[in-house]
Amino acid sequence: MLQLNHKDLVGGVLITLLGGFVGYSAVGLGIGDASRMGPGYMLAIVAAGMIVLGIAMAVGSARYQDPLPRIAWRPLIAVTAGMSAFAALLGHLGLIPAVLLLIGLSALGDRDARPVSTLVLAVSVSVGMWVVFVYGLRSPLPAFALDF
Amino acid sequence: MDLFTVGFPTALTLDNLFYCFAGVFLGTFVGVLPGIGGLTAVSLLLPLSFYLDPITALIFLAGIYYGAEYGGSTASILLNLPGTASNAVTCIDGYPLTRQGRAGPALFITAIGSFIGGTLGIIVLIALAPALVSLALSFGAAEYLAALLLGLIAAGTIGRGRPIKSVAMVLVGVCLGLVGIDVNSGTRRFTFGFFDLFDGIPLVVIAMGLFGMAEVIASIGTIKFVAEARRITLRSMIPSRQELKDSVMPILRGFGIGSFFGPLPGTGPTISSFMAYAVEKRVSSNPEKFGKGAIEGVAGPESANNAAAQTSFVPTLALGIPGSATMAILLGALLIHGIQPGPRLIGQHPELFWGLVASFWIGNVLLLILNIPLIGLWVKLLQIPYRLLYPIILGMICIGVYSLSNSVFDVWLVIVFGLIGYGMKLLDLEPAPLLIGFILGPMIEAQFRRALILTGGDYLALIQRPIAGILFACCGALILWLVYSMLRSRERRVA
Repeated sequence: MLQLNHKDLVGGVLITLLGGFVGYSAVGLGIGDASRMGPGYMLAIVAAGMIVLGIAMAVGSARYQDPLPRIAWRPLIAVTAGMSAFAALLGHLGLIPAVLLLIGLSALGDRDARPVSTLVLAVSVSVGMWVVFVYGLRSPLPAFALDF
Repeated sequence: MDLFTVGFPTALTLDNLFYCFAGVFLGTFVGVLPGIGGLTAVSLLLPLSFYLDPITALIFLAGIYYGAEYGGSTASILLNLPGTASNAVTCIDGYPLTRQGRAGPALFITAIGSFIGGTLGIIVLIALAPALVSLALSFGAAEYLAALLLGLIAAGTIGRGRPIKSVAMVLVGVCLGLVGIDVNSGTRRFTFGFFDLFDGIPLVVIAMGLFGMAEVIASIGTIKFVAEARRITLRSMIPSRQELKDSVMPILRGFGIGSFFGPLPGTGPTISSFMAYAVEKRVSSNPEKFGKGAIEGVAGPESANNAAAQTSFVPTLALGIPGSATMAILLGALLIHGIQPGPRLIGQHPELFWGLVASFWIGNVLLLILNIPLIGLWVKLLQIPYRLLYPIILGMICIGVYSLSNSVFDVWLVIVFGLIGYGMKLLDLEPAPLLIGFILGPMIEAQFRRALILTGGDYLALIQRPIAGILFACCGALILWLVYSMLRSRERRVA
């Protein structure tokens, strides 16, 4: 019986699709032959393996139950937002604002986060990072910047 | 004895001694904290090692690696939370011992077992590595291909999850490893127009995403440190005579298992500890005791994972083949300093090899001190709530990755791999085999190509060389075992 809510069905289908994409690209890159391998030779072998295993996983999943767990949306979004803010703003605002935002946003991932302790944490970590990386290791990063 | 003429004088300089201590201290620190392990710490501190001598850098990074194996057991025993993956099995009997008020002796036996496993593992390393080197000097492309392939298959077979999924993850890793410009033809593979991907994806980026960020997302809200300030005094750590007697054989067996699996690429400490637990349970005269606080279930695995941590340096230093992601990062640190890993490493840089080995002895003694008299420090550390810890871990990941090559692109890549890693967690797909595939994939492609150019595309000629033939036979045997265990697990599931 086909169960859509199944780890190995989803995983198997994804691996098969990835294998298909890699195999298709390998042909485009040029496979060559065994004595003169092209850039796609090894990829083609690996892709074949992925497709076989992916299909085996998906087909095999019909025999047992293993439903997907719930996604932890809150930590997922908070951590991704914090790190994206860091990556997007580091070059524009400087180290300290970027780390402040990273810590502030990602701390929201925990339900028990309190404003005051988060603020204290954010300030102390950003100053600490500055001391270690800019002052200590002489990383070429400004503490503050305004550059768009 | 090069160990005493070259090794100890190198390891005992003030700088090296300091960085050995700093390494094992930091290693214990991150080992104790759940959700951040040796791999994450070594990746994070890699940029720092650019500023050190190559030998000092190696002593430092290696200290973090085996220090984490010591520290990881503390959280397993006290909180039922594995500090690192290779200590997960210690929870099974370590935590029940804590609930019976025997946390002290359990921690003591763990430290002693780790010390014995680790120090005996170093002897195996000293005996095995030079022997392997003399063999490896006659290695051609076919032999390297076979050895690498063996590691790749081992990574898929002896994993913890279902083998079919581990093998699939190994293959995904190989694809990721082949991203970038193909050195032979100059063709760009999967760079999607990003200039930053021409040199491939940095190992640290994948490791930080899959093990750092993904681990943090999965841990938030689930790790509750309920350590009611357990007081572990030195006096309370002294084990009873019976406990000591019960631990001797498991520690020695653990050492044996760890020394066997440690040098095999793709296996290492985690597999060794699981194997050691299984063996202890099987040889015990009363196996029903396991899971309810059997000291043997703590002693065996902890000895095994430390023996494996030391012996996993064998292929790394003798062949230049990294058996795990951490080893690959250590080799990367050597490359940055212009030292080429491979069978000539020990001959050309004896001070590097023997100095490192000597620092292992020193490090293990330091760890014994850190983990018995100073255990209270680590117990206190476990009382810091995770909601204050993880933002710091994330901050270190972001800055650490950025400072690898001063590029924000790498931070974006970590985010991508963090999300992929979280997805893999949801689907029960293990990241460790993926990482092995990522590391060994490009090496295999290079040797594969070279070997077949030499034989003119003749596959059969590869197995006609004696050493390569034996290694390929081992690969074949592992694949048969893999298929057998897949079929067996299917029968079990149907039944």
